Amino acid sequence: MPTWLMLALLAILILMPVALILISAFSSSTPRPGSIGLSGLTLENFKILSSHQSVTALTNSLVVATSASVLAMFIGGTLAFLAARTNIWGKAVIYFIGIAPMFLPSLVGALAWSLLAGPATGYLNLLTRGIGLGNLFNVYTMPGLIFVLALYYAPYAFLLIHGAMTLMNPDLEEAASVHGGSLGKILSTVTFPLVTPAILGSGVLIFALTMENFPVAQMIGTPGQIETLPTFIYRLMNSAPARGNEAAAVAVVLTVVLIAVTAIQQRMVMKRNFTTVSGKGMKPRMMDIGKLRGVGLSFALGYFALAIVLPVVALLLASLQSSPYVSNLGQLFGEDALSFWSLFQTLQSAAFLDAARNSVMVAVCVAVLGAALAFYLSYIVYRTKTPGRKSLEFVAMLPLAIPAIVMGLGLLWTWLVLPLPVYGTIVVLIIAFIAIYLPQGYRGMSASILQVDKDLEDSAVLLGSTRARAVSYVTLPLMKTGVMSTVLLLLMLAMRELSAALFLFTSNTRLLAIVVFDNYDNGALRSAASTSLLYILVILALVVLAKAFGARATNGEAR
Amino acid sequence: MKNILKTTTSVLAAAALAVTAGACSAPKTVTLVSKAESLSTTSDLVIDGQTVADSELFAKAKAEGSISLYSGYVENSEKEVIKAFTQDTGIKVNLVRLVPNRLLERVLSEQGAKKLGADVIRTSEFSSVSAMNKAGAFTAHKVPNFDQLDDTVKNDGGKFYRVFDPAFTFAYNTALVSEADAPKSWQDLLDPKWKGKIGTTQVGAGGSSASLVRFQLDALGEDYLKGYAAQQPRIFDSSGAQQESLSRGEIQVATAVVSSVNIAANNNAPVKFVVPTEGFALYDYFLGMTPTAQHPAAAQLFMNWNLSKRGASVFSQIGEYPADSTAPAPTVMDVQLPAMNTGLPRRGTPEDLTRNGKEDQATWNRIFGYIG
Repeated sequence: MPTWLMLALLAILILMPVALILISAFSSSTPRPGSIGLSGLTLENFKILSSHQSVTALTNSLVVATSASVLAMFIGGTLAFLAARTNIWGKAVIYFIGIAPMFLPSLVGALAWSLLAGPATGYLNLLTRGIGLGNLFNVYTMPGLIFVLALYYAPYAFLLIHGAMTLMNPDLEEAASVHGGSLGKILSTVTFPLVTPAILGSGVLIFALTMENFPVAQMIGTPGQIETLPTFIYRLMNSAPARGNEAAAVAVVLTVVLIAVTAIQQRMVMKRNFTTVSGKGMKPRMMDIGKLRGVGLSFALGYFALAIVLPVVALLLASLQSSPYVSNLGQLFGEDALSFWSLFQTLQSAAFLDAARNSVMVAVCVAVLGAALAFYLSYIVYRTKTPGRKSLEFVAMLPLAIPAIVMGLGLLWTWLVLPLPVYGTIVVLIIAFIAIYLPQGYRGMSASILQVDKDLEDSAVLLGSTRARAVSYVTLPLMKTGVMSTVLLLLMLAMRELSAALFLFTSNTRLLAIVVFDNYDNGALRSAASTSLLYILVILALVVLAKAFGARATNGEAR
Repeated sequence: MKNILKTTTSVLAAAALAVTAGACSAPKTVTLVSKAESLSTTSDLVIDGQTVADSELFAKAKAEGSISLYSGYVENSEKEVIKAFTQDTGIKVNLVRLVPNRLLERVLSEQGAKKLGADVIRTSEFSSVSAMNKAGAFTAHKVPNFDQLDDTVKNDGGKFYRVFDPAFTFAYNTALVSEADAPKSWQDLLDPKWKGKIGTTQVGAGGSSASLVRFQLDALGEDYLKGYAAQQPRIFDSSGAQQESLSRGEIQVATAVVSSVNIAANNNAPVKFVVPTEGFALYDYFLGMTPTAQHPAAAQLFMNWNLSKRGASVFSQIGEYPADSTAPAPTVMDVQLPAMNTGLPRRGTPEDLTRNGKEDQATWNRIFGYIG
């Protein structure tokens, strides 16, 4: 596919929605089909940025995103290192723990943590009150928000760093070791610098994702009056009458900030050569961390308990409770206090079954098509000298900087205007999610393409193979771990997405995330909890299936 | 990894077994909306002695079989309405439920693209429904009892109707607050004992909040809001989320919509609403039919039914005040709500809300130090 065709594709996927948002930011009226024009240009919308409120929201967002990324990268990076490069016990378990929280959408995690650590009646508070310690927890605080975000974004760091660590050429460490380097010295001067692209990549990714995360900010931050940019934008969009123009103005600023962050990271990746996979055979060296194995294992198990076990238990309890009010944990064991009735109701309801079908269909299509597009794009950018490839990359990374909720609105306008009959169908959701997750797909693909030596593919071409054949027989197989991780990543992301779908779904194309959020927003918490539980099971089933297809290739776990 | 999956699968299987073996009984609930007292579907559709559709319209509507409804009404309540409607007519309703503000955006965008997917649209707030009307989202339809309805009900020659008004007051958690201790008036909420234990929705959360704030400023004054803000209430973005928080006991007293309290109590939540001595706010819900309806006959029938006596009775049983001024005030959870002429229910008129909306919002945000 020539570059211009790719550019045209990206223009429709990404540039057009962005343009509509931009017009909106500088316009006095919201651009809608039938009323798009450049009349009424104004800078009035940007006045909102100087308000005390926006400054607070921006500051909060920066604090939350920075702290959550640092914490998430610490958790994810530690687990990745343990699983990929050490002689810890149960590496498969560690790997599983590292990615498991991806099965839990942040929306569901936030819901579960508000059940667990809500003030006064959170289950953990009932527990501490039961043993005479009083109410200890309140998740509706800044630390609470950071904590929940970090829990559910750590797997992104884990996946990217783990991928890089398994692909690392051990010769370099070997050499350091032969020359007398200590473990700490090798790690800090050889191992970690080598995975810099992955660490930086995941850092920027998590920063951007947590900064634009809406569900957690809305469920945990809003009740504690902690305003962030996404909830601010959501409120502007949701106010009466909707203030879409000002929301777009705020979004433009957020976009500029995130583009700057992306650019800095870009410069660091581009100026150096991080090739670590070459023609030589390799097997990552396992480091002996001795007594630290126990510490590492408890760290992993502790994380697992906080991210998965406790939330699932909370959701289960909430969906079984016959009354929403519980004064102490003992009450739950009373007669008729718990019933599976609601869970069964949900399981049989058409709303749930339709939503589950839609979610799965969307996720699978997004994973496959999105990964293919991302690979092609990375290939053009990193492996060809095509003019304009930098601009391709810029466009592909753009959605990362635009809050999904705003992008969703831009996409709504785009697909209402375009004369293709996809609006109102499931196709528009697939298109939207591919557009929104292109940066993640692209980042995953390019991180692994950067690690595969270009010479290998060129040798095949020199020996008479066509380029396409060389790519599919040489480059792609070498990138297998990276490719499959990207597919899995996109699958999970698409399964979890809420914000972008808010403006695009119809009654026939509701997704599981929409059903949960609507239930929460409508105060139907029990039904939100039971749908959440089943939601997790659907995701789990999907992963098991995906594993059955490409099981051993998906990762570098114990082979 | 494989082993883990195997283990997970077997654990899940065991859990599934436990589920089937465990208690599956439905929790105790009462039927919220009762069946029509009399129903004739043989030729004309006659419900409770009133003709809702003649035989021709009814036959066409039945042939169409379903309608698509875009609604900004509380989902649980809308589902009760749909249940009753389908029971009466056999016509199914496909519901797209969105909060009113998002619904407005959706309707305007779809209408602009000439792809409006709704047959009928229900939303709150006069400004929203007017904006939809201005965009051409509605077509005039005269319901059979058009002439009997007063001018606050029918709008623009039947393009849209005010159908009912929910009552916005406050409620308390009965497990945490005894009836004797419960606040009886809005002023009672300023008692220091409620500090940090009360809630409210933010002014921009929708037409309901705007109407409540209008009522509070009008009947209780700006100082009242200052006093309320000093109580450090938890501020919610949606009344649904606030209701759930009250049911769970995270807060003890909160502003609440009577029909939502009714539905929550029906689901075993320990909550009860209060009829304050100073009165409470009513806010409007409107209904209109679209010009591009895919199921025009069924849509007309839905309009007729909503504005019929039966419709009024259904909304009344849910806990709303029917727009039809001849219908009695609702009785909810064994409490007879005051009639309109007592002056206690205060409906914010569209003109009043439009005139004060912006300023009220600014005032509220300033007093509560809120971003919006």
